[in-house]
Amino acid sequence: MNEFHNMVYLGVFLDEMDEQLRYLDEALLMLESKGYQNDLIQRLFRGAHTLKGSSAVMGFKQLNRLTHQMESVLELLRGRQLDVTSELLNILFDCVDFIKELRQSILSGALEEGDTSDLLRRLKELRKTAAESPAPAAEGLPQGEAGPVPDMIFDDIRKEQIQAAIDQGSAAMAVHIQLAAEEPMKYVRAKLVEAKLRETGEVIATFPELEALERDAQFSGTIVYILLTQQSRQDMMACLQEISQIEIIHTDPITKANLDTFTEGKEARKNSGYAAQTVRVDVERLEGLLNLVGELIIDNTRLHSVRSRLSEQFKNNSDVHLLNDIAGHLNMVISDLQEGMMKTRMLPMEHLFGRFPRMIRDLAQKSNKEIEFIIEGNETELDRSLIEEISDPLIHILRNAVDHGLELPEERAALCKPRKGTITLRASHQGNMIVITVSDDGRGIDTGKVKEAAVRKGFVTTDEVKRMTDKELVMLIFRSGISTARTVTDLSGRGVGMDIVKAHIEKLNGIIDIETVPDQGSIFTIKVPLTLAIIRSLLVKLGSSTFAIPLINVIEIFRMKAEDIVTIQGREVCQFRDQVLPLVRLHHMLQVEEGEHTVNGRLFVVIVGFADKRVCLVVDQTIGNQEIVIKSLGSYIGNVSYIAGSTILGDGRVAHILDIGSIARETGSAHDALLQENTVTAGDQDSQSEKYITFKLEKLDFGIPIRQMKEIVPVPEIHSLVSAPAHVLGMINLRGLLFPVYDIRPKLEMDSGEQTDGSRILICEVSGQEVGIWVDQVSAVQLLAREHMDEAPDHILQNPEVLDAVYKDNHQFIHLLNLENLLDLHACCITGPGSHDRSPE
Amino acid sequence: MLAARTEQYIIFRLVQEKLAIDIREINEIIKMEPITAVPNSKSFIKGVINLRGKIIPVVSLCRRFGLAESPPDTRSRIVVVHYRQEAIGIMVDFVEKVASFHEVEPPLESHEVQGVQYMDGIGMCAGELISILNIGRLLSDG
Repeated sequence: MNEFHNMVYLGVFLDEMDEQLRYLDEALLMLESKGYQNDLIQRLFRGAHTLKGSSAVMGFKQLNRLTHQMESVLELLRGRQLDVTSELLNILFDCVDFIKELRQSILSGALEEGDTSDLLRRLKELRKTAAESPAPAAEGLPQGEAGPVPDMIFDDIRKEQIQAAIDQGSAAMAVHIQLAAEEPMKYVRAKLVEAKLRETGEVIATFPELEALERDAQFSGTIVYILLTQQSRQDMMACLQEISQIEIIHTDPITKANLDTFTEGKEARKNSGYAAQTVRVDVERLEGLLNLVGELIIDNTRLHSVRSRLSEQFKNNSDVHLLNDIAGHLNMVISDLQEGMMKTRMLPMEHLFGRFPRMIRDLAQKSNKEIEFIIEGNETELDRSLIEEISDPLIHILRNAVDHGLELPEERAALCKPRKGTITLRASHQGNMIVITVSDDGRGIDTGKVKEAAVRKGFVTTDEVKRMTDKELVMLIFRSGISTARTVTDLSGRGVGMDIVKAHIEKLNGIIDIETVPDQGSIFTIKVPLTLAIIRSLLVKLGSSTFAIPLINVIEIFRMKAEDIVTIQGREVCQFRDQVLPLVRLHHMLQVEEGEHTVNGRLFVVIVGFADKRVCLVVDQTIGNQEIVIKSLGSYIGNVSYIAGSTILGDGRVAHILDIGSIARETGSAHDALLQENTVTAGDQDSQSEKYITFKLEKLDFGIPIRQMKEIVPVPEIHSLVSAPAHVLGMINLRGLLFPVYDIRPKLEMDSGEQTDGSRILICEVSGQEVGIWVDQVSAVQLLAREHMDEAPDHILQNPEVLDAVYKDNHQFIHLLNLENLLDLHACCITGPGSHDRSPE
Repeated sequence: MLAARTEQYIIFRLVQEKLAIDIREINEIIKMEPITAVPNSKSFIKGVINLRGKIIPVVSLCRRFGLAESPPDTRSRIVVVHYRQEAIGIMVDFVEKVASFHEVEPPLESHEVQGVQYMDGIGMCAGELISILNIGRLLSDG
């Protein structure tokens, strides 16, 4: 229907449309929540006007007509001839939706415009109601023709100028001039006015700037001149009468009193969105540049390994020192360059989050719920390709939060919660990851119902379900069957589309986690890498080969004894804290010859996570983490199982990047079938016995529950702290994290001993903090049966609260420590003089 | 008998046999590089190397022909050829010379010769018979 579509500008037009639609949506939402505000109407007007202008240029006649009608309605609104009613808002929202759809259809290649007649009719009817109702008083502008008044902002210099002029007795005024609508040479006419005004005084500013007139699509025809003059208003008016084709609307005197009101306009200016200095660049060009940066990073890593070898060899050579300097500088420049390149691909989350308030509003209306929607971290930046990908999962999660998470206002009132439910969407950076959380204060996930649904669907048997932990139950909602539309209604817990969410997160190499408390709400946490091209990864050794594991997937590294691996149904699993996890011997999977990967009978195990799955990988050695550039193996080799790509290491060799997704999918699903068996034993253990790590201090045996343990490390260098009590040995640096180290002997009325070969630091979690505890020797991990435990004999101990119990059987007598009471971290970590007094000198 | 040709070939040695590759199919010849094996890939792919920042696959002719591989030494080379817009390395024991053949005969019909299906023909050079490799067939999946 439109013959002329300027394809070159179509992209720009669509971008502009997107931008304006966002402003329109935003302003309409504000209008709905805050009621009539002049600047909101101005913003809406500007949006509609811009769209009107550009649609005319692009030849979208329907859009042009629609936006024109929208403008007319907004004008009535501004003139207070129409009130902000829900009907009016709905029509305007519908118009915005229509334009959104139009944009989508243009994007997908169809240049057909939809039918606007219905909307046009509704807009016209709306205008009729305005005409019939008497226009409220003189507040409306007398000249219906006048466009919106441009924003007037004075910077400090102008402000001073005006102040000085007023001090010297001149009058300062804002002269509002309206150019005729059909004026073809706006700039010339405007210049003429300026010249005339200059005869009477000094024009210090115009709004908008005259030079920008021709370019400014939002120019409404009204120009404000700020004039400093000694002459009277009448003289000035007479002077202007000589110019034809203009209308003088009015003059506002500027006094010291109202000067500040002009400076306040700044915010509106910022929001109007045409201030940013940007260049639109083809994404492909950026991709190309990013690839080059990738090459640089690889070469830089190589250069550094050569450099360190050279400086070993020629310690005193001045050229080598020079090389060191240059390499150091180059390193800095490259990392800045990389960061800069990344930033060019980054978009603030605002682009994504901006769509949600509108969605939540519609959902709330549909479901009759009252919702306070809070967005935090709008400025957090994410790679643009990721922003698109993360959108769908977020929509699903938010929709679930509204549909199933939040209760109806009446229900909430009955539960003594505020009638308005709160949903918070938050984005933040965490290292090289972006963390997005969606939290609500609704009813939480009802594990009972998930259980029912899962059993009914036949995913798990009743017996299995009984043995699952709450966490495992919650994770069941990611099973595809549980989330089919039919079950949702009777499940009435969350579940719609969660499998889609999972699939998307998997695609992005991310992790999803859920926390939920009945009647208090749920928190969904999504972690995704900042970018897909350059990632941080953990390098591990298998036999003689090096492999990279994306750091985002790495959850924990620990060492375990080979004996602790249990084989169930022909598959190996290991128990870590309270979880039973499948164990994968990468050697078999990756056809690497099995090396000597047991150091003192201990295995290195890396726990990796992929979406909702967790798997333990056995490796020979962990090397460290490094920034790597992902490269493809090329189409000749094609897709290889368990390998996501390759990278080039510092020594120039190629290392493969493990495809954690396929490894986790393969073993994770096999693991599900095993859960049953495992949890039988785990469950039994829970009730009758518990695993403890036992250790020696002097000659005595002590035990700490294994669930509190994080890690056991050999004693590193301990950095003493000033003014620390005797039982604080100092701080240790473990992979960049600082942990305080306690010597619990003074607390236990024991003498301090010397460091021996057997000395270890136990990293434990005490009162929510991770701390190190010095021990003389770690004995074993033991299952201690509850029947052999007795309460501490409090009448013979000085402070019995440091012991949970004592364990005794025929061979041993173990003190089971209560670390919370022993360290007393709640009382401000360091308990002060009290502990000094007791500690033996 | 086919007509005499003037095309140039790189003559190299693999175990006991001399083979030739048309020089127009070759990008470059490089020294042995550390090769990273690619688990779970085609059996005749030895692995991948880093060629000036690009990762390229390396094919073992011995494995392709079903011969025992000899350990690489200082004379071992990787002949980088182009195949379907990709660079692919071929491991050879050592590169002898560049030559052209006066006569090229069709390959032997016999199936006793290993890898005969990857040959284009047999060239005569200084009294020696040298098999000419067909890169396309050699690298295709068959």
